[in-house]
Parts: sequence; structure tokens; C-alpha cells
Amino acid sequence: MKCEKCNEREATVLFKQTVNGETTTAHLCAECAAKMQSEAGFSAHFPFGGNLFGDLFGITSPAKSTAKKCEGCGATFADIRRAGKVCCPACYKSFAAELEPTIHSLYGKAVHVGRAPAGHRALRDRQNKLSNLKNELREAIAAERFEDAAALRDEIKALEKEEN
Amino acid sequence: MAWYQVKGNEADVVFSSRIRFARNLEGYPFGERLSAEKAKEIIDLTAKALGDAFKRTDMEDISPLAAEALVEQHLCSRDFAAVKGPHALFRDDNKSISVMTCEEDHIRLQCILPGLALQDAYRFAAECDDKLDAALPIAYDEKLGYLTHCPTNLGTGLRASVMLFLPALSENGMISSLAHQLSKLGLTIRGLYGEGSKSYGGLYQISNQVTLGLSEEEILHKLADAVQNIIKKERELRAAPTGEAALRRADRIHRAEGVARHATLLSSEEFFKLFADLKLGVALGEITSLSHESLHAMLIHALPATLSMQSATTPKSAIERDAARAAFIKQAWEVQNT
Repeated sequence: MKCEKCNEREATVLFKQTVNGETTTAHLCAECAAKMQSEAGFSAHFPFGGNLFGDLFGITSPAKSTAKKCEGCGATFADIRRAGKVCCPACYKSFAAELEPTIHSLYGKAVHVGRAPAGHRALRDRQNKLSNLKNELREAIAAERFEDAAALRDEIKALEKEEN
Repeated sequence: MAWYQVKGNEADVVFSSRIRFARNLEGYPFGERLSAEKAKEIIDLTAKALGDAFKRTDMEDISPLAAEALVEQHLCSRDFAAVKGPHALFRDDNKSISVMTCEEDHIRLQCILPGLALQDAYRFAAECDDKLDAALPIAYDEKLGYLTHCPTNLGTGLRASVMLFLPALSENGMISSLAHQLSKLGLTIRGLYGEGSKSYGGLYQISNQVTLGLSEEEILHKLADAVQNIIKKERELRAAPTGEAALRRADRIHRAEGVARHATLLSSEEFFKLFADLKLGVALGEITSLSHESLHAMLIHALPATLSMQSATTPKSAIERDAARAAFIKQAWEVQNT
């Protein structure tokens, strides 16, 4: 197998890299692997900040939707690019597709865990509880504990009703 | 008593621990799009949410010197002091909490405590965050977490940092390799005073870089683990010099003591350099007439704006200020020993 990077030398190394929770693998020759290793160490230093961020929006974001305006503040994506920052909290929703490459480059596929406002916390707790109960229900059925299963099913129904 | 006058844990290496949350309100724009009227609304809403325990300072009502003194005392950020337009600071000094409104984010809340105290600082900050959350429409998204002006603060909106005194690591040229190792952990280090890689006073700040995808607890643990390792390494290196090297170091420390106690003029840059030797002297037991906290207070009170604010007559020139600084240090030292 040839090295996936230089396409010349024989691949002898399986190069694995995890950035913000996203793991990529590549078959590389020793030389390219060493190069990737040192680059990875370097790029781990935060590479952008301040106005450079505006450039980042520009490079990685699709050029479409120039006329679209944020529902919250009326800003266009060009405004965001100029500022290097979003213009109001609602911009994240209005320009979700345009901002996605930037957010991906910062955090990979990671999603938020941790604190949340009380309203969201209650919702999240309920969702977690619901998924736990569903797992328990599956286990109860598999073990033929039908009385437990009936009780779990009722509890799930009550929770789902609350959610709706 | 100010936070820096209180004795902290691991004070020979750790100056302070700080937790900062970035929070924003739904329906209010950021930065230039935020009108003065809307900014005032945010300030009033925050005042109501925080209640009477917090002392309010409308920053447009205080002098630039008073604002700079707040920056020097780490009670607000430099960016906050520089905001044009309405912005207000709310402080609960009992818990060492500052809430800045209308900085880069609508609300930035911080708790700073002496020594290594990340968990306590986090607990105080979280209590205050709950107060805000109960009363305000905090902007939040299930996947992105707390929505912030700059996407680099998304998720937890948390910046946890520890200010460390690392003269031995610095003298052994190990800061850049430390920076490299920390970056692999999603942490970053920077010199506190001085520009670029140059640090006066041997003080460095280590903080988390990544805000989304890790819980607050995970971020704190990661930082605390790294800090414990750094403390251990710094202490090992401090204990290493023997013979001539130890003599030279003791001489440097006592010369610094002599200059600090007897100089007539002291620039802040010179005092930063002296501070590093004095603090090392206190840590090694070479200087017994000062405690770490009294030295920390000396450092902060000798900064230009804080110094001017506490002088009976405001110094009019750099020389006058250097004279006031030298007189202040001399007197502070005498007070310690009476």
C-alpha cells in the first residue's frame, strides 16, 4: 500500500489523530507520519483570533445567501464576516449552515455537555430519564419480567405526555 | 479585605484562581449593534437579577484612573474598562465576584480567589450564574451550549485560569516546552506582565482553550491536574541549586530586599523584577519578614493606577510616581514588622 499523503513511499504507519473528539486515520510512510506529528503539535496552538477569525469565516463558508438576514438582528452573513463575530445570539440559528464550517474547525463534532439554563436542564433531564427507562424496558422484556415492563411502559407514557 | 490580601493554598507557587462565565441575553444584539438604550436595559435587568448583595459601579461615572485600578486589581478586564458606551460592574466582594455587563458578551461573570481554589471559585460563580439564569432569558442552544459573541467561547462559556509564579521553570528555559505540552491538553499559558513571550515577575497564567464538548468539571479537573504537576516540577527545580548556585541565589534575593526596602525611586518594571526575587526569597525561607499575601498585596498596590489612587496627592510625573512607589514599599515593609 502506498502512503496516502505522498503517494510514493510504502505506507508503514497507521496515523491516528483525534481533534475535538473526531478521530481520523491515514496510512502513511514514516516520513509523512513524522511530519504530520510535528504539524499536529504545532496546530494545537490556537491558530486564530481577533480579525483573523473574519478571514476564517470567509475561507471556509459558502458564498451563498448574501441577501439572507438574521431573524434576530437583521445582520447579513457579510456583516458577520466583517466583524469576525456573530451579531446577536439568533445569528447562530439564522446562519447555522454558514457558520457550521467555522464551528467544526474549532470544535470538531463535539456538542455541548455541562451546565444549562434551568429550563433546558429540566428538558435534558427528562430526555435522559426517558432514554434510560426505554433501555430498562428493553431489558425487562428480554428477561421476560413482564410486570416490570408494564410499570416501565406506564412511566414512559406519562413522561412523554409531559413532554408534549 | 481584598481577595489578594488573603492567604491562599499553595501560595509559594499559586497567586490566584479565576473562573469566568460568558453569558448573553436572547433578543439583544452584540457589539456595535447594541444601542446605548439596549445596553442600559441589560444593565438594569442584571442589577435586578443580582439583588442587593452586589455593589453597582456605572463605569461612565468613574475616572479612567479608577477604572484602570479595577483592572490592576483583577476586578474587571482591560477590555471591559475600554468599552465605549454604557457598561456597569457589579461586585460582591465577600465572594470575590465581579459581573461585567456589556463587555464583549452581555454578561461576563468572574470569581477570583487567592491561591489554588478552582473548586471554590467555580462554586461561587455557579451560584451567581444560577441567580442570573433564574431571572434572565439566557441565550442557549442544546448543541452549541451558551451562545457567545465570539464562537471561540461557545459551549460552557467557561474560562478557568490559574495565575502561577514560575521563576525556576522560567530560569531553566522550560516555559516553551511547557506551553507545547499544555497545548496538547487543550490548555494555554501566557506571561502575565510584559509583552509576547517576555514575562516580568515570573507570573504566568494557565487556562483552558477549549470551551465546547467538555463539561465544566472536566475542564477544571484537567486544569487542576496540570497545575499540580507544574507545582511539583517548580518546587523540585527550586530545591535543586546547591553550593555556589545557592549562594548566588541567596545573594540575589537579599540584594532585592535591600533595594526594595531602601530605594528612593522604583519603576513598576523594576519592582516586577524585584518581586520575583522577593517572592522566591519568601518561598525559600530566605526572607522571613514578609508573607506571600503581604507581598502579593504590595505588588498590586504598587501598580501605577492603584498606587496613584491611594496616594494622598496624585503623582504628576513618572518620577513622582516612582518615588511614591518606593516610599509605599518601604512603609508597607515596616508595617509588616511592627
